[in-house]
Amino acid sequence: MSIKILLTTPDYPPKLGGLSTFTSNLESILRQMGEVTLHVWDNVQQLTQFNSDQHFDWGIHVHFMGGVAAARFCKKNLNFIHGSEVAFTSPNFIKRTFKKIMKRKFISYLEESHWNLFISEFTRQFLVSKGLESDFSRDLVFHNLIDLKENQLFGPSFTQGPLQLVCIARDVPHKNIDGAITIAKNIQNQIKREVVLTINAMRDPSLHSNIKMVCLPNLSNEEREKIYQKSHFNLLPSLDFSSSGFFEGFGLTVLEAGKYGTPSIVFSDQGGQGESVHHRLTGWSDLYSNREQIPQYISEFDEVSYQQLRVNTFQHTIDNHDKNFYKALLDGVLK
Amino acid sequence: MIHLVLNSPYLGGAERSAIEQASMSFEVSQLVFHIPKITTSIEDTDVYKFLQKKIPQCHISEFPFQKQLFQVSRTHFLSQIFGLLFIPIAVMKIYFYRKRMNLSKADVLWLNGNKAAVLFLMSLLCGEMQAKLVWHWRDYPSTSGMISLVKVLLKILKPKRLLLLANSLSVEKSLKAWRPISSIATDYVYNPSGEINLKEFLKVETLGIASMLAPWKGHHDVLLNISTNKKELQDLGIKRCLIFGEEIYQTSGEHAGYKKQLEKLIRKLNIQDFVFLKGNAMPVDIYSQIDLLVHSSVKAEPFGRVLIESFLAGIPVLSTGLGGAGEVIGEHFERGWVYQIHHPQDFFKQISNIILAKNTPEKLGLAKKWSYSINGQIPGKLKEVFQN
Repeated sequence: MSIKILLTTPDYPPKLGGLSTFTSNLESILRQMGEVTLHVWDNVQQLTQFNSDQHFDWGIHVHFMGGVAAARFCKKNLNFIHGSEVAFTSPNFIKRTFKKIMKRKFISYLEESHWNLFISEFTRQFLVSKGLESDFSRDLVFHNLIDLKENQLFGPSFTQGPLQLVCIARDVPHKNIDGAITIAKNIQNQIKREVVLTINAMRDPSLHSNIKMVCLPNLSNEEREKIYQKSHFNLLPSLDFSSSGFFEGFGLTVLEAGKYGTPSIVFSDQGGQGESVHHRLTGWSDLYSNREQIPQYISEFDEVSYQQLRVNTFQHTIDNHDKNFYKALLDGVLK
Repeated sequence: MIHLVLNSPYLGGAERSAIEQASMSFEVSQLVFHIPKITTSIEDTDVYKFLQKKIPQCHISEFPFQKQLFQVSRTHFLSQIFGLLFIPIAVMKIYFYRKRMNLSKADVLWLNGNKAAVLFLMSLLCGEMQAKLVWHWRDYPSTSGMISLVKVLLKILKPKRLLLLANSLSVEKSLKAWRPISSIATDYVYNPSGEINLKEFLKVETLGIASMLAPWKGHHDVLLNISTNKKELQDLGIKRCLIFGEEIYQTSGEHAGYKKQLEKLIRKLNIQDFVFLKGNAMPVDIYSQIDLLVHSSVKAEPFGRVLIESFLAGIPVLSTGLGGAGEVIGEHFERGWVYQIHHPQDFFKQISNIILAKNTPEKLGLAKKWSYSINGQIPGKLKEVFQN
């Protein structure tokens, strides 16, 4: 008899975004394992009205709030926890007040759940600091996976032409796009060679005239992939703004670039991205206080060592971050 | 005369290492061991029994240690505030103990661990000591809590003959950054291994983990790795994973109840036919039962004594390679294998490499040779450190 699974999510294709893609990947795996009922919710009001005439063996919740609403219909609940959603805060005053009031109930729900799968150890520790009682029989870390179809190792020449850097992120403070610009400038000063930085935000290039900046705020998916393929390094200089409710849970762009062999540069102590890049194996991942060392790191590469870095990055990504590994995870936990 | 002050009456890696280093470096007549008395008589403690076995006829003394201080958590702020209340009494007791034991006539006061070291150093406020103080660190210095008070204390006391002795180059670097006065000397000496019987590397049927049960040792991560790769591991011929060790910290914190959580996790993942919690065991029993050591620490490890023991036993080591453990494995993994934390596929790939790679025996030989050289260097290094 196949298991009955309720899958709840706030995002689903064709809606764009990481959670949408994540849900789609998860759904395809779960449908191999049992009978899946999908519930997509848009807002909290919808959640509070959730009802079902069925009962399920498992509730699998892409956002924990789906579980808070639906837990009573499920024998066991599994929550995926990605990052800032467990900051229990919001720029919106009403949402922030609601989350503060409900925080204890949310944490109780998570403590009573069967599994909480965290996208990074940083996120797990963050939630513990918010009051979750630590329990390693319930709370596990499982890093992000992505669809690796059309993955291919690209090897742009390191020594010929300009050094191509990319930073694709929402233009919000914790993503620190201006930090990426600073890194690019410092690299150019060190290597004395043209540096081109592509970002998907708007900045006035005349203010940063010593590097070439390409601003593409309306990047399509296809354009984004081509930029990752031809870039030498992906920059993800996100900062830890967890006290305001914003931090990087893992850093999906590291994998999006890595599936073409493009290594990444991150700060290891500023969020979950420190766990997505392996220092000197798949890029640079070191303390924020050591960021002055980034240009020196870049300058030490020659063509051979750089191409080896790309091979390491590519191999690591396809060996460890294929979305099909969710099957092995879920086979293990959905007992 | 060298007075070795132990941090705990329970036999953890730090106590074992200190006793072995002492026994391999100095004559029994040069040594006096000081064990903290917490609750039971010291004759009933693991440390006492190990000392009697290792160095029969050695001089042993028990020094007073407030039970409440011993239970202070490394991480809980309130616990540390509570502990502060007991410090004045504890320090006075240590001072009078020093007088009674005539420790001023010692050549070296070797403080093995922070609990003991903090109290003995604080007792200097009551009166100086002529002995050379060697504060032996077997972990990285904490940036908060009681240890930050000790920094202030050292700035006030400005002890002239204090050496911070680390158990790896990685820890020594951290101590250099931590020390409040640059004139405080630092050095390092690796932990020793005991006598281990050599096994011939033939096949891998049994994985093993040998460490105290605590979250930073990463057992839970290994259990998830095993759960997601169980069939593949069995296809490689692996039949079981034995976990040796117990919870040894009596303090509160995230590690409290970890063993019960592991037991529950094993049941939830339905791997109770594959993973077995074996409790404490002597090294000779551990290494005779396992074919591959998994060193799963998820935080920087100051050293990793079990790595050396495995090398000497001829057992391949798969480590997370963080901190001092990375030094032991080698910068280019010349003595072992490394996997990334929270990467089940990498965990499996490296085990596969160990079993299938042709150069595994050669690597095991290099690891064994390196371990002998490390053990051989300890007596000379300790004598040099204590005499300078």
